Amino acid sequence: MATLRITKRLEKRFTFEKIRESRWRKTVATTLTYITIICYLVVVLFPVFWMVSTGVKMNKNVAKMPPEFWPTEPSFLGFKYLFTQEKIIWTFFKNSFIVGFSVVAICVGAGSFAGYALSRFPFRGSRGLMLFILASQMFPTVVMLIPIYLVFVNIGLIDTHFAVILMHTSITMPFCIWILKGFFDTIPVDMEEAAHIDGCSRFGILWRIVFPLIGPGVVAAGIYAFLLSWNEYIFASVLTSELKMRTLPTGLYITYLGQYEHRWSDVMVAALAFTIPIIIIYVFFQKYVVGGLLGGAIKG
Amino acid sequence: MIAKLNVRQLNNTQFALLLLLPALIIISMIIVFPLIYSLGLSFTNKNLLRPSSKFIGLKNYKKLMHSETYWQILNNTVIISFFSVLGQTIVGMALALLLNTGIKGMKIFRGLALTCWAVPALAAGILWLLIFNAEYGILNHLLRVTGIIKDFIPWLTREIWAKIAIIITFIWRGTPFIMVMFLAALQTIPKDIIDSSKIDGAGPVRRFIHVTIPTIRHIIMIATLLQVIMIFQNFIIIHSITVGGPANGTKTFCIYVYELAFDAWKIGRATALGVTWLLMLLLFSIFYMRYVGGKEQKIY
Repeated sequence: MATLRITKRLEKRFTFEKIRESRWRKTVATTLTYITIICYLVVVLFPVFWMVSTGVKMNKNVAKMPPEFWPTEPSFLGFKYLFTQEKIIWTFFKNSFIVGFSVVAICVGAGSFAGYALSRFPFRGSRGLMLFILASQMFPTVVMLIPIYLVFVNIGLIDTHFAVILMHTSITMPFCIWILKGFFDTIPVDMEEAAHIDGCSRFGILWRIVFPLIGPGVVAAGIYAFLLSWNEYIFASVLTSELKMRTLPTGLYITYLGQYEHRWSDVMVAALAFTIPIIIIYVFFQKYVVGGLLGGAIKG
Repeated sequence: MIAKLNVRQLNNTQFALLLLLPALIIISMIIVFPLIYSLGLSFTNKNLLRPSSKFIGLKNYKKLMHSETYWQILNNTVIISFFSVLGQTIVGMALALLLNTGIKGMKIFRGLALTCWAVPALAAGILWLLIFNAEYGILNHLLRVTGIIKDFIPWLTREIWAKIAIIITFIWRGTPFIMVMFLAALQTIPKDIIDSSKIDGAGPVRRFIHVTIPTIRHIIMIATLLQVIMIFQNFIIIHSITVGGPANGTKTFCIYVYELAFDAWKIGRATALGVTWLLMLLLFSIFYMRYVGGKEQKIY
């Protein structure tokens, strides 16, 4: 009896210690994990902070050695100057928004139909089509720009919004179709089948049943298209020559990048103006951005 | 009399094609047509500074193969993309593994990390241009203050350092994207496999190599391939930081095609270069998908 009790007590102690030990190990592991992740975040977000910090400095203080982490003479005049004196930035904003929203409208419109077709009606060529869509991401956009440029010069479509919208659509459409198709795949077919049995036309099914459901997919594809168009430099730069037709990235590049040596703060302010709308979209629609990224890539 | 198109009479395949029509029209106009036209142009000596052009067969390609610049550009592109993607994959995987341990705040970390991916390319380029500045850039300052270097590194004025600078920028920008994809992939691994390997006595390293990686092999392959493609296509970041210099040190295919086509107006040469680039990328993708992705390709 005594031996049994002792054995039991010893057992208990050892298991208790084992638990304590592994709990200790777990805490250490978790702390190290947190530390590593926070280090990474610091390293990764520091440049963004630097952008803000430089924007708030005065031009002459940017080149100070040693560089100030937080400006001793903060000045928000740069922002005021950018938006009131150099009115050109409003034109760039306007152009970028016009192009962006048009691209979203076209991509989501044509893309939804295409995504639905590819999802619900797999026909012989549909697999090939999907592969082609993936492969089209690979096509060197610069090279495609060359014949387009030649044609547009001859037709006289240079310096039009239409040209830029068209080209932006071409680079965003394939992936939008991919996202939307992936999204359609997740919507169960039962409701559509029921409607079909009840005699609804196929377009009717599309209109009444499917479209009300595709909100999230449309948002994901739309945001992706808008982001890509906002960011896009090379098509917009080649297809527009007049300053008043240029989109934000191309306009900023021409206006600022030549003379940055003395105006770093102004340049950063412009860059910030360019960045902030995207960050706002990103903050509010993060779920959709990530979902769009993953849905397209993971499923395929 | 034009027969009215009765949608109800279309069979399923035809209906699908009808839905696909808008997307297909756009894609064929803007992707297929330029591709074919570019191929044709690459066999001519078209130069926009000359009034006419004629067919010269493979002469453009021969000239390219024999020019030293071509091989240097190939070298640059391969080095930059290889090391960038390598860095992104290693850091991204490490972070994904850490985040996958079920710690709290994973979504917040993910959201914060993705911010640097959301910063538009031009803004990022301007930003890193300032950071890499040899005289008053913050990077040199930090490195010197922490004692890692004694003299300032000439980031953008020496070929080798410029390459490293571009690689750093790409790693900074692309790691969050890859991390998010890997994290999502890790979360799809069924717990049973991990648990059973634990029971079988596999340590964490063994588990990683023999269980985790093979299960998400497909995703790793796609994610890295996408990154390589995106780096090949990337124009604005390299153009705003180093413009392909110094001494052609960071000139990738994309930048060289742009220069040939829109600075020197040598359309024939530019398209030939583009075609070789596309072929190379296609071949690489096919082999990469076969070899790294494993025999059972679930590409569609």
